[in-house]
Amino acid sequence: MSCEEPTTSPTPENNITVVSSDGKEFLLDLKLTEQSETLARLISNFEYDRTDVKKDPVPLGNITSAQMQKIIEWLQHHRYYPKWEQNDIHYSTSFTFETWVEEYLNIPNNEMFELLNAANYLNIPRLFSTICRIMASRITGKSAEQIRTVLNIKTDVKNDVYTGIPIQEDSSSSEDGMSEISLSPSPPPI
Amino acid sequence: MSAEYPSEKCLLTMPDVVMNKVLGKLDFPAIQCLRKTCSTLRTFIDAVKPDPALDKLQIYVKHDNIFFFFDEYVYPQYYMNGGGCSVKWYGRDDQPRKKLLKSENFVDVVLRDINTLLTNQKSVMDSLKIVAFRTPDVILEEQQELLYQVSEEFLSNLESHLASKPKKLQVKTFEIQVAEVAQVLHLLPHLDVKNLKITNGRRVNYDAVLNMQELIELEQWKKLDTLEILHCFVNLRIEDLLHLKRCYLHYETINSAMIEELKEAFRTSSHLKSFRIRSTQSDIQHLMDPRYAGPHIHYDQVVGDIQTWFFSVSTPEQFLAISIVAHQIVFESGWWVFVPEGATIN
Repeated sequence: MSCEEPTTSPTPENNITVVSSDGKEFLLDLKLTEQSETLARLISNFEYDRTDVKKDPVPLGNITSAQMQKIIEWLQHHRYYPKWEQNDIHYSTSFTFETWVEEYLNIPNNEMFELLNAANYLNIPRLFSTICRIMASRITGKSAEQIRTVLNIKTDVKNDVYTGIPIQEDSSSSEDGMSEISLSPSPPPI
Repeated sequence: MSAEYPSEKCLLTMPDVVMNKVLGKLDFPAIQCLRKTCSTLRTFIDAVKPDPALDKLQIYVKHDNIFFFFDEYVYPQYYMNGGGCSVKWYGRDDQPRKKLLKSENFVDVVLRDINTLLTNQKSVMDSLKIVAFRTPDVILEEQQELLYQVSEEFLSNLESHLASKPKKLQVKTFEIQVAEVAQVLHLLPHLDVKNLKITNGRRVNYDAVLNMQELIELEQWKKLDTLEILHCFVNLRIEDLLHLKRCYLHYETINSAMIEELKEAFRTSSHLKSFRIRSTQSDIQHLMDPRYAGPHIHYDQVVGDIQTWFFSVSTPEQFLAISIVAHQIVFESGWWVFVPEGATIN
């Protein structure tokens, strides 16, 4: 999907000011805030979409200025996209992303998780879902050990010498499930 | 929290809503791998019980091994190995791996893994296929007996697991190959099934007549849309089939009364779509009432002449076609526009 880049700048009549946790102010076009259910609800409740209502700056105590900058970049890019429709009930979701998204989310894991938290806080479903898909794509097809490396998870359980999977002293084979069953080139004859 | 992780944001510090969303986008093997990364994730996943959303599961039981598929590539195999069980699978490097579980019954091991697969399944599976009993062309008598014992052990243990689930496992199509109907009864009462296919796995008694009485008394029977029973005869009354949309059955013999009963049912019930019935008789066309106009004869390169009688039905713009070819009689609902030119409608 493609969209046109925005050409209009926010004016006092069609914007609100949000303040990040480190005190920086951002002027946000009301059109952009429609993508954030949190901001949209706030604007509706305080009637900030009316020109005769005084708009106080909105403090966003959980979001830093760097995260806000990144989020505005997302909102700008998706300004003319249709409203997000939730349709991914099952895991069978696509792990392909448009080039812009891949570049936008080509950031270190810790920044990705911070952005995910911000998207969750502001309730921006398209961004939230996209980052979750990116996270899932980094997990899918990897062994437990590879996932630990990719997501920087340190384990407190020792590894099986043969399979490289963690073993807990009190766990039975049934608890271990089937984690190391994996891809193979061709099925056996039936 | 037992796992060590950095103070900066990482997967382990995410709120539950985020974790659930990520889990919702992972398939079963990925969730199992994630579960093994650390005890924090293991505890979380065990508490959340994410739906593996299996689309299909195929299980093949043999006298000395069992294997199953749940997607195109994943197929662990469990072999009887002396007093233990050998498990073969492929690592992510595509290299075959093998592990010997000493003093473990291979049926118990495979069931443990299948139960792990099915425990949290909540969504509707498209297909569940279990080949519990299929004799190859050449099989020793003692192997056949062993196969029967293994399949019985497997099915009765799987039955216990399915029976313990709070809700019946929902499956669109359940396909099972068995030595006898009683083996179907291990599982069917614990499933919510739309389409059922039963195949007689014994090659030596294709002419056996299945006793279906217990099967038709199940609540699942009344909910079926489609029924297919292969490699054996049935003794079902026509009235026991009229809730179905489609079926394919073998009768040892059929008679004019059965044909009339089915014809009247098709003429008055719009849900009936296609019934295909085979018989040992080669002269089924003589069972059609000679007062009916027709038949319309169409030549097919594969099966030869097909004789078809057309009937009006209660639904406007539709018709019933009764076709006879070789040893089969087929009842099909169709639209008027597909009635061939020159055919007479009764």
